[in-house]
Formats: sequence, C-alpha cells, structure tokens
Amino acid sequence: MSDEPRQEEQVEVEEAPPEAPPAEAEAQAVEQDIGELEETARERDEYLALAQRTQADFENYRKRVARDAAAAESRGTARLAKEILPALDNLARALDADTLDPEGLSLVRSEFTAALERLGIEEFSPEGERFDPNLHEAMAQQPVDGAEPGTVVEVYQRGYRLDGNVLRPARVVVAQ
Amino acid sequence: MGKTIGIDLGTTNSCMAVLEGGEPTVIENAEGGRTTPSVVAFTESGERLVGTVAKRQAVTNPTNTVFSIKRFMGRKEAEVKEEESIVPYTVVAGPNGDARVEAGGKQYSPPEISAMILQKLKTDAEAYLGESVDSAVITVPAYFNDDQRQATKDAGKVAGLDVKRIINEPTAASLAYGLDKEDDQTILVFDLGGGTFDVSVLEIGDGVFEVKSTSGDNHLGGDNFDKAIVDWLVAEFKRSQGIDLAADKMALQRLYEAAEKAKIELSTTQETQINLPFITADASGPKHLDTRLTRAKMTELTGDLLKRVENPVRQALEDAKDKGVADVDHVVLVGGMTRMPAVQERVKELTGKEPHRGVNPDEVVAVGAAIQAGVLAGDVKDVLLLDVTPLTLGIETKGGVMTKLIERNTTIPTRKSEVFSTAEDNQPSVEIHVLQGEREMAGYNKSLGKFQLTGIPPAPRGIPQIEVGFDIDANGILNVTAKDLGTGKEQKIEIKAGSGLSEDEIKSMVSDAESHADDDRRQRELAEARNEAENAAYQAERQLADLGDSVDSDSKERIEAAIKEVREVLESEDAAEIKVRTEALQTAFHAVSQAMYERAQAEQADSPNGAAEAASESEEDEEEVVDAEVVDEGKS
Repeated sequence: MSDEPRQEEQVEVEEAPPEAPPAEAEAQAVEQDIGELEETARERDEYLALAQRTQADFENYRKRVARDAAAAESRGTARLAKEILPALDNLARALDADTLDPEGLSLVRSEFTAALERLGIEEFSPEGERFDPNLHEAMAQQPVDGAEPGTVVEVYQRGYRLDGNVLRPARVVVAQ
Repeated sequence: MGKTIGIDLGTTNSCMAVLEGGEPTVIENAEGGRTTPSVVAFTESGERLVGTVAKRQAVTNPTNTVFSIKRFMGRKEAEVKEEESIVPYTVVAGPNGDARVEAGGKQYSPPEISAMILQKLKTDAEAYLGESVDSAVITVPAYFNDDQRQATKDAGKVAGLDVKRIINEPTAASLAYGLDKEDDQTILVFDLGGGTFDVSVLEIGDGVFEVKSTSGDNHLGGDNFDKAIVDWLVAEFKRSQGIDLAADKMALQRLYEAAEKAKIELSTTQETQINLPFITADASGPKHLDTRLTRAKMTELTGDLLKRVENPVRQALEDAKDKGVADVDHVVLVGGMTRMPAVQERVKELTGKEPHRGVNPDEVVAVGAAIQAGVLAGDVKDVLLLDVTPLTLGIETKGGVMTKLIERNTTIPTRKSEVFSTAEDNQPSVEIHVLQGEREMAGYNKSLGKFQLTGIPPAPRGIPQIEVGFDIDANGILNVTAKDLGTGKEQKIEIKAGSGLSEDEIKSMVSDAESHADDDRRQRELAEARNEAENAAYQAERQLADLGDSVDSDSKERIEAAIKEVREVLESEDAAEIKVRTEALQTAFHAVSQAMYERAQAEQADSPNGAAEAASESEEDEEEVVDAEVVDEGKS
C-alpha cells in the first residue's frame, strides 16, 4: 500500500507543467497547502476539544459513580444492620433474664441465621465432606481412626456463602 | 491490542492495577481480594492451586505448597541455603546450579512458579476488565541483580505476558505519588511488607530515577509484629487463667486475627479492646479472653522490631551520602506495616521528613507500575490532564437563593443547562446573576457578573421557559447563556478564567461555607418555604378565578381564608409555620378540586401549583424561578 501514494505524486509532477507556468503552479500549490494546513489545524482543535470534553465527562461520571458506590455501600450496611438488630435485641433480653435459658439462646441464634439468609448469606458446616480449599480452610491435619484421609473431621468455625460465593471459608480439621 | 497492567509481584502477596482513563485502579482477583497471596500448591490429584485457595490448604499439603518463591528467583542453589532451611518444601540444584523447587512430583524453576502466580493475575485481570491483557510492567526490589530481573522477565513470558518493563519497587512507589515530575530531588522509600523490609534512596532528575543505595532486612515484616502481640496475649492469658493458648491451633488462629485487627485499629485510635469469647475451656467451664491493648503498650511490645528498622535506614542514608547525595527531600511509605503510627514516627525521626500519604501502602507499588504501564502505552497525555472548578457556580433565583449549576470539583470542560421561569405575571425580562461560591444564599457568594434577557412576551408567571446554560472550556473560561425557548431570543456573558481568586481565597470560601452551613440551610429553607407559599397562594387565587362559579361559596371562602393565612406569615422568619399554612392551603384546595374533578384527581394532587406542568420539560423536572425583581442591583 505504501507504494501507491508515491506513484500518484509522480503523476502529478508530470502533469503539472503543461497546465500552468511553474511559478504560478507553485503559488497555487502553496496556497492549497496553506488551506489544507488551516483545515487540519481547525480539525485538530476540534478533536482536542472533543477529547477534552469526553475525558472531563468521563472523570465527572467516575466521580458520580464513586459517590453512588459509597451511598450504595452505606445502604447495604443499613440493610444488614436492620436485619440483625432485632436478634441483637433478643440477645440482650436473654442476658437480662435471671437464668440463662439455652432454649431462648438457640432461638436467638436461629434469628441471626434467618436474618442473614434473608440477605442471601447462608451458613455451611462441611463435617464428613471431602476437604475442598475452595470452600474450607485447613487449620490442622490429624490422623483420625475410621476417617478417610482428606475428609473434614471437625469444623472449628462454620463457613458462609453470599449469593453462592464464599464469604468466609469453613475452618476445619482434615483427617490424615 | 490488549491492556498493559502493572504488577507488584511480592514475596508474600501480589497486587495488580491498571490505568483507566488516566486514573489507576487496583484490580480485584476472582475471590474479590485486592491482593493475592503469592502461593502455589500442587494437590495429590494433580491439580494446581494459586493464591488464597492454595494458602487455605497449606497445612494439609506443606511440602507441595510453595510460598516465598521470590526469595529464590534468579539465585543459585548454593546461595540460598538459609532460605531453604526455612521453607517446608524441597529446594534442589538444577542442571546449571540454579535453585529449583521440587513439588507435586516434579521440579520447577522459580520463574515457572512465579509464572503460575502471574498467570492467575492475568486471568483474573481479564475477567475484571472484560478484555485481553497481553502485557505488563512488573516490579522488583531495587537490589535485584541482572539474573533476578531476567528471571522475573522470564516468568512474565511463560505466563503469556509481554513484559514491557521491569521497574524497581521504590521507583514505582515514587511514581504513584507523582514524584517523577520533581527535579534533582532525593527520595527515601521505606518498604515494610509482610515478611521483608527494604530501604532505598533514589535520586530523580529529568524524569529518571536512579537508585543510590539500598538496605534492609530480609526477614522482618508485619508477621513479626503480629507475633509479638500474639505472644503477649498468650502470656497474659497464661498468667490470668493458667492455660497455654499456644498449644491450641484454632485459638492461636483467632489470636492472630485479633492481633492484626488490633494493630490496624491502633493506627487510628489510642486504645482497643480485644474480645475473644469462648477462646478455650477447662474443667471449670468456658474461658473468654477480654483485654485492652493501648497504642503505647503495642509500641512497647514491638520495641525490638521497631529498633531493627533503624540501622538499615541509617545505612542507606550513609551509603547515599558517600555517593554525594544531599539530604532527603521526600519519604514514601510502602507496605501495610507503615500504617502503624510508631513506624511512621520512627521514619520521621530518622529522615527528618514528613512522609507522603494518600495512596494505600499495600497497593502503592502496583499503582506506580500501572502508571508506568500507562506511560509506555501512551495513555498519559498532558493535553488531557484536566482541571477542576475550585468552587461551585450557579445563578441567583427567587428569594436570594443560589441555585447551583456546576458543583465544585467538577472536571472541566463541562456544560450544564437548566430551565427556569419568571416570578411575576407579564415579566418582560429576567436578570441572570452569575455566582461563585459554596454558600446557600446568593448574597454571601462572589458575583461574577450579570446580564438581562429582555423581550419576554407577556405571560403568566411560571409559563416562559428560560434555558440557562453554563459552559466552562478547558481553559476555565465560563460562558453563560440565557435563551427564551419560546422566542429563541438569547443573551450571553463570558467570564474569564479563575476570576482572580487565589488558593487561599478559595480555601476560605469553602471553609466559610462549612462554618455557616447550618445558618445557610435555615436561610435557604426559609426562602424556599416563602417561595412555595407565595406560589401556592398565587396559584390558588388564579384557579379560583378560573373556576368562577363552579366552586360553591363555602369552599371559596375556606380557600380564600387559607390564602390570607399564608400571606400573613410570608414575611415571618418562621419557616415551619409558613410550611404548615402552605400545606393547609394545599389541602383545602385539594379537597375542593377532588370533589369537583374526580377524573383529574391524580393530576391535581401531583401539581397543586399548576405551573409545574409548563416547566416539566426542564432537566431537573423541578420548577425554579428567576426573579429579576428580588435581585439587589446595588450589590456587585
């Protein structure tokens, strides 16, 4: 492709002389060049202005998105808090009671998990399952009689999923 | 062509960032983390795991879980005997004496392991960006020799990345703070990471960084600080409860997490509560850990560690001085541990300089690498580095209120327009009074200029649509136009950039607005309540007249009384009372119209002041009124 323009130039040079005297042709060519330059300069300014506008729009958009994200985060926190606070209230009631009531406490616990479930957070406890580092974090490995190596023999801490993604892996002991 | 990203390939954690529209953004990995553990594992079933997942299974698979591979990059096996003794996996000598890792039944060169980390970063970055990533700028410590740099480059190649450049970590950190724009300055970069400590002294001239000296401690980092706190917690618990928590892996894990949390919290507070219920149990029942840690106590506990940073800093400064380097001009902090106030104080004492702040120290190296990547890709162009408006711009509207059109800190060039209307019946002209400032009331802001738009055809107030447009170009020149959308008549004013405000004046205007925020809000509320009340009375009166005899005299009297009540309080300072009476009027009118026009009920309820329909095409969907009459002509 790079050859073609050169050929065209040659053609122009060859054809130019018969049409006009050299000096006049040159003046014409220069004038034309200046016109083109001016046009190019105008275009350049236009494009620069356009690029600057687009960039500024983008930066302002980004600022708005950052603001929106902060607001969304705060709404999310508020939503979580609203779900959890009633359970916290009942925990306080349980503690205010004269005697420790395991049944009441276990109700409070289900209230917490139910609140979390409403937000898409589900609990899992993988005892007996095959150890999977995608879902579990191994805290220790122990030889356990009757347990197949590589299975979870104890769950120290339950795991949680949010919308299917691991929010926190279950902390487990794995059979050796 | 794909994107070029910046990668901080760290000893314990790696981080990546990209330049998007001139702004560096840290890229989250597939697990949602902003950093990725530099860990690779080979499972029994032949699977290869990288990052968090590899870390989670480490205790079940210690000999096949490779971490700290960076310590072996480009090294001969004979040189790394000490490191070998620390890691649980096997390190052997390759055919040419290079260190190699034996894991998963195979031998891997350190660049191959690093490539697996880079491969994951690349894949995660592509998922995040939604486009292919084919090249990168990767950082290495300033002290890395040619072999180590080459090994890092090879790792990139194996991962399918075109390594555009290998840059020094301290250089990247300096870039993140824009220090490449400085000339003939000396920069000290203090990098206290998870497991390594590096000090570098750089000199910058003509946009080129030169490393003058480096020093450090290969085995000092955040982990040591956590351990110091955990050791103290264990000792305290043993003293008070007689139980050794160090023997209980789960308890220890909880202690480490609590220690890290406490460490972070003590960066901003003087004291924190460490609360670990049911940490253990004995014959007498469950035991809880509940203790208080002060910042002073933490500084005491970590005193030995803090001391260990001193010598390398002194050493680096001395070595640099021997090479004719003048005093330090800038200090840059890298690594999560530099959040600790005691560390910052120590650095300040040693260098006599206040460190740069603002960029997350865990991410600053990756951010700098991304900036370098952007420069190489030609993303960073001076002509597109744009300014922001330092102060809010707007116009004066009815009641002396400043209505904002362009908020402060908006990037320019920008334009914004809004449709306003008249405040009086048959108002022939509006005055556009252009204002700059953060105060709610026009009178407290700076007047930039004013002009009239005349020739508005006679019309009830609220009907004419006057579009006011603000346009600031890249040079900060503001053009304000006012156009009567009915007649197409237009008037404008050009206001030159900056309007002569100095940095200090801008600051004082902003802080003025903050300190008067409550007063201003009250004044604005009052003005708005008055406007609404006045408008409601006007509309009610007009509609009563329009409806004529179709309204029964009882209702008419009731509404007229309500209008009178509203007008009585118009001049009072009691915004709440004005609002109450306005609502009463609206309710009274609403009741009448509801009875009369069952069908038009919804419409009437939505726009009790009727004129809103006329202005409903405005961008803000909210009617604003420009009032030529209220503006004080004597004010400049």
